[in-house]
Amino acid sequence: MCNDRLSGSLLVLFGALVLWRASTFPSLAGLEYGPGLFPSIAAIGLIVCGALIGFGSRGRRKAPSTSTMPPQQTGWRMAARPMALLIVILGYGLLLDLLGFHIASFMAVSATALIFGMRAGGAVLLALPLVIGVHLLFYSLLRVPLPWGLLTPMAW
Amino acid sequence: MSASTLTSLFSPASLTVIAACTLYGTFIGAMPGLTATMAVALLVPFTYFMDPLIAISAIVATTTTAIFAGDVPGTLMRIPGTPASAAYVEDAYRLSRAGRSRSTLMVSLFAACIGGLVGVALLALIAPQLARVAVQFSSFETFWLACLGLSCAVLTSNGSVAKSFSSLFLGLFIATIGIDVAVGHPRFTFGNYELFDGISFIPAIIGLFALSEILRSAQIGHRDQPANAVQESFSKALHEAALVLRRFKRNIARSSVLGTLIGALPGAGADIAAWICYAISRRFSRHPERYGTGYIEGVTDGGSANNAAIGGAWTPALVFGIPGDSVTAIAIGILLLNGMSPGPQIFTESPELVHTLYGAFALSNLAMIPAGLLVIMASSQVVRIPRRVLMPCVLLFSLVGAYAITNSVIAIWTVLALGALGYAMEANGFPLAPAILGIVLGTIVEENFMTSMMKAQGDLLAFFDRPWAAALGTLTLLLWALLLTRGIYESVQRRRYPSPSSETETYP
Repeated sequence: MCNDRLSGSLLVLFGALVLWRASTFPSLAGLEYGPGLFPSIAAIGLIVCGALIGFGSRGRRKAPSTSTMPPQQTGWRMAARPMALLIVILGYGLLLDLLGFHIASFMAVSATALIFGMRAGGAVLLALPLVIGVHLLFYSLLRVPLPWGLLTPMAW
Repeated sequence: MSASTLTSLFSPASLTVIAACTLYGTFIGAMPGLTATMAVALLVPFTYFMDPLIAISAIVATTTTAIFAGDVPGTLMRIPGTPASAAYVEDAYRLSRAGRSRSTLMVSLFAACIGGLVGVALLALIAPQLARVAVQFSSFETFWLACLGLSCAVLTSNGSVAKSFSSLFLGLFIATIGIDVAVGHPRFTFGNYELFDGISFIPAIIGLFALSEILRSAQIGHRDQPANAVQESFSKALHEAALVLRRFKRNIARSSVLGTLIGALPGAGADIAAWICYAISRRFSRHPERYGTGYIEGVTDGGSANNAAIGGAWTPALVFGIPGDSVTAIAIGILLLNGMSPGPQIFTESPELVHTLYGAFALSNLAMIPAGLLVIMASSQVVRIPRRVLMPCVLLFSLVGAYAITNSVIAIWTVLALGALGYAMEANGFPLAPAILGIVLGTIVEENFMTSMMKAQGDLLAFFDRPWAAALGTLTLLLWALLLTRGIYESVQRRRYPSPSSETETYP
């Protein structure tokens, strides 16, 4: 699960990208410093730390885990669930304005419930009151302009 | 405290808000994955409609109770409700498995109350004195203070130095996204005008803390740990808790004071305070070998320290305008919206705000006791909510809460990106706290650096010209040297003993 070589390399790569982008920023009139300074500091920091993490020592080691969770199970199904959740959120972001808050949220909640192992009927029973509750709290009480999307004709 | 402050604090409106926020904080804190910061973040839209004094009371009441209530799911399900409860979750959970969940929670409730009261007392004592010094501060001192805050975040986190620094630099990078402060050049926005204002802080927090928690929980699967059926009776638990509190009263006193001081460091909040006080408690304990195996002593320390830190965190926020943690960062935003700028002048210009803050702290720590006892008695019901019901709810609240801040889909993208990042970071042993502080303090560091540079016309030595700046600067540089040595020591150690040595904690 914990792969220092990979995460270190990714940090170095990312730092280099940021450094390259930051070098294109203009500098402040009369000074050698400008908008690029802080991104560059962060980028150099990332490159150095990434190198230390990924290539600092030869021996394979396990990082001290800050996670408070029980030991993780292995198997592709376990890794697949977080991926599926990310896809649900991606879809939510893409479809929110189009479908509107109510339909998109209903779908997202049902899908999440299914991912967490609920039956289809239960998922619907959970999603419906939840969406109504969130609507009342955020739209009616807090006046957050949630998008109506497809349901715009019904909006109040 | 003046009479007018008392009347405004005990007005029906103020009392209602404090009572409501106490219950709200208890509920949110008790829900795993919903943090105290999130509770405050979701409260922000409400505070627009409130008097600033009441808004501050609302924030104080919510955080105080949410930090305590974070112990409830930690004790019963081994999922800390807020990161501040993570330090002693193992002990609390094992005590609960042994049928002692109620007494454990009561211990942490009363420890939290004492810690909170000590925290606000120290805040009231220290802050005005510091403010007298701070009136003389300029951008140079503020720059060093913020740097100090960032360094503390690395020093106090419990990962390897390289990984903590990586987390910090990632946070600093995220803070640079958007229009830059000096010349107004858009950075890393790729033409997306919604990114010009930078990454919104609240969606970022929700992503890093809430979504990453949901993802982790999805990976582990739906093995709901059943709540322990054997529960102590109320009176027996209360009696047990009183015995524990008497036995470890010195721990509570020590951790309350220490927790306040740690919380007062710009950059270190309740979670860091709990970690450090737990570690110190273990070092000085007569039974260090029992820590982590279901031993109550660490719970008294961590439980009082994290609530004390909330009071402490307001010290830098009020005195310097530099947030001590992410909650005070949000609070500063609300004050600014109401036309009040935190800083040393607030003590002379609006003393009623400062006094109301003290009063709200004292009041909500007392109101926490009945609310806390209520949630302890109902906690086995709370825990019966299975994860497959809870997690979809948390997800929707996270997404809509983030959306409510920006009113645009960009918030969803922020939550998604930072949630995935936070999940990947935690899975690989990178601590999250330095990243958050990088995001909060990065802007402050850069703004003050650029202002100072323009004032000094590019002369770096100007950062050491003024006496306080020189002192703070030297302190910061010393801290960096210390961190560097620790980092080198760590890598030498690892080279020598490849695997097991890095497993031990690396507390300062």
